[in-house]
Amino acid sequence: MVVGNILMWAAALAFAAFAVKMLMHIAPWFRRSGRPGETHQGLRWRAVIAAVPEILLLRRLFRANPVIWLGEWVFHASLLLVIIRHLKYFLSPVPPFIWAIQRIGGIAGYIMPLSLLYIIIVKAIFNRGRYVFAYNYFLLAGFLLVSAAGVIMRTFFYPDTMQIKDFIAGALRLHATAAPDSLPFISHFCLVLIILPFLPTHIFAAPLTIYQAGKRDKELEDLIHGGKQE
Amino acid sequence: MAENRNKKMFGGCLSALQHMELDACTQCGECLKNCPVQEVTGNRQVSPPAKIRAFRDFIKKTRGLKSFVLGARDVDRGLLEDFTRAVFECTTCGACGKACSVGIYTQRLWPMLRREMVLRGIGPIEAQRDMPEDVRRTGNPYGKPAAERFAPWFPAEVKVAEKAEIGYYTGCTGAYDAIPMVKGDVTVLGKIGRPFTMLPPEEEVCCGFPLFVTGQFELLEGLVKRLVEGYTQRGVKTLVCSCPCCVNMIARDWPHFYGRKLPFGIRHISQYVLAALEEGRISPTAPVAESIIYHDPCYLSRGVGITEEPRAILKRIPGVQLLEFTRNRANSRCCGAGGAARKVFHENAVAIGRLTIDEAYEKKAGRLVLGCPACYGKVNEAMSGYEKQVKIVDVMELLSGVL
Ligand code: SF4
Ligand code: SF4
Repeated sequence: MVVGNILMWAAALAFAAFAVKMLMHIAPWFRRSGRPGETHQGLRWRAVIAAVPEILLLRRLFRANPVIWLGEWVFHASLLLVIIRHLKYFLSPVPPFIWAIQRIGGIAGYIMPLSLLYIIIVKAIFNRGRYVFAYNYFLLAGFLLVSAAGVIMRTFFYPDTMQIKDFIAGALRLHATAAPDSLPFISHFCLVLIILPFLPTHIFAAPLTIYQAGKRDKELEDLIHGGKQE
Repeated sequence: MAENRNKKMFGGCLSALQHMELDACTQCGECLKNCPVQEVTGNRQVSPPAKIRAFRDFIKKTRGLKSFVLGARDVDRGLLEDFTRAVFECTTCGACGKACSVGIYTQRLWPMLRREMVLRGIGPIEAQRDMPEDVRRTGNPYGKPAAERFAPWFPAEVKVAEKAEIGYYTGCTGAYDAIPMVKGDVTVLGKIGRPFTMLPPEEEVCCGFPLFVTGQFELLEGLVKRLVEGYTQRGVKTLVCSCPCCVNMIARDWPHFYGRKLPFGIRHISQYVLAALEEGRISPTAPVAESIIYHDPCYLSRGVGITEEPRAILKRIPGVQLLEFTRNRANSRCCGAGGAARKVFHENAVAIGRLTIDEAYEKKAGRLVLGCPACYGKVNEAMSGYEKQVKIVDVMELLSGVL
C-alpha cells in the first residue's frame, strides 16, 4: 500500500509537471496576431487535408534525411501503437478497437527499442554526431529503457493485468491501491514517470508548424504570381 | 539598466506561430548541412538549433514556471551578446527553413529574433548600427548622396514618363553598388516600349529591407508610406523591381507598414520582361554562344517563389546553354551577401561567395548569371584576387546586350 501511495503521488506530480510545462509553452500560441511578417493563421481545410500525410509520414524529415527518417518513422509509429495498446489499462470498458490492435501493438513494443537503437547508432556514428544534443540522447536513452523494460516484462515476467488495471484505476481517482507485485512493472512505470516531464514540446508544436509550412508553400505560389496585374 | 532589460520577458516580438516554431524544433540538426555560414565557419553557435535553444532558454528564464513563481531571472549579458552576434552572423538565406524537418520559417524567424535584441539595446552590431541614421540622412543605407542615385549611370536614351501605370523601383544596392544590373533593367524596360515611371532620386528612398532584416523597424512606416504615396500619385498600377530583397519587402511587409493592402501590384522584373518576350515586344537577336550558369537568389527563390522566369528569359537568348548548380531553385546556396551580415562578417561573405564561384568554375560555365544586386556586389568582390575566374553578369544586363 505504501509503495502504491508513493507511486500514485509520483505519477500525479510527473503528470502535473508535464501538463504545466506544456501549458506554459502553449499559452503564447494564442497571442493576438498583427506582427510584421505574419502569415495567415486560420485553418484552411484543404491545407489541413494536405498536411495529414505530411505529418503522419514525416515527409519533411524524409526529404531532409531518408536514413534517419526510417528510424524516426518506425519509432513514432510504434510509439503511437504502444500508447493506444496501453489504453486498455486506463479505460473501462475497453473499446473494441483497442482490443483489436493488441496484437499489432504488442509487436510494435518489440520494434520500438530496435528503432531507438537504430536512431542512436545513426546519429552517433554516421550522422554528423557533433550536432546531436545531449538532451536528445537523454530522451532516446529514456525511451529505450522504458521500452526495454516493457519488452522484458512482456516476454519473461508477465505481470497480473488485473492488478495493474486496479492500480491505475485507483491512481486516476487519486485513491491509492496496492502496487502490482512486479518489479519489472514498477521499474517500467517509474521510468515513464521520469521521462514524462521531459517530453519535448514538439509533440504538440511540430504537427502545427508542418501544417503551416504546407500552407505557406501554397501561398508562395500566389504571393507575386497571383492577382490582377498589368 | 541593461540588467533590468534582460529580465523583461523574451519573445514579445514573436508571433504565435513563431512561438510554436521555437517549440517545434526537434534539435535534429538536419538544417545544418544547408547552412552557408556553417559551411565556411563551422561555428555551431550560428546553427539554427543552437540559436533556437539559446532563445528558448531566455524565454524559460523570463517566462517559465520558475520565473512565474519566483520572479524572472536575469539573463547573463555575455550569453545575450554571444547570441546576438550569432543571430546577426546568419545571412537569413532561409536554406535551413527549406530543409527543416518540421517546416520552421527561419527566413522570418531570424529577423524577429534580431528585433528582440535591438529592443534590448544589444543588437545590431558594428556597421549595421549606422543604417537608420544613413537612411534618415540620405534616403539609403550606404549614406550616399541622392544626387548620385541615378545620374552616374542612367542611359540618356531611356525615357521615363511623369505618370504611368508601370513604375520601376531601382533599389539602393543596385543604384549604388550593382550599376550594370539596374542599367540593364532600365535599358530592357525602355526597349519594351511601354511608358514607365520612376520616382526622382531624392524621393526613391530605401524600401526598408536592410532595416527590417536587422530588426530596426523605427523608420519603416515612414519610408513605406512615402514610397507608396509617391507611386500612387504617379498613377502606378504595377510596380516592377529587380532586387529580390526589395521585392520580398514590398510583397510581404509593405502592406503591414502601410496599414492596408497596397494600391498597386508588385512584379519581379523577370516576370514583366518574360511577358514582354512572350508578347513579342522584344526579342533577343544577337547570339551568346556560351554555357552560362544561373544562381537563384535566396530572397527570390525561397523568398517570393520566382525560379522559372529568369531561366525562361535566359533560354530565349540564342546560343545559350544553361547549366545548373547542384543546389538550385528553392534549395539554392546563399551567395554570402544576405541579411546585412556582409556589413560585418566580410570574410564569411567572401568565403561563401567563393563556394558559388568554385562550382561555376568546375562546371566550366562561361558566365555566372546573378539576379540580385547584393550577390552581384559581393560575388564580384569574392572574385577579385581569386585564382578561379568566371565572368559575372546579371540577367537583365545580359539580355539588354542582345536585344
Ligand atoms: S538562414 Fe541561412 S545562414 Fe542563417 S542559419 Fe539558416 S542556413 Fe544558416
Ligand atoms: S531542421 Fe528544423 S527542427 Fe531540425 S534542428 Fe533544424 S530548425 Fe530544428
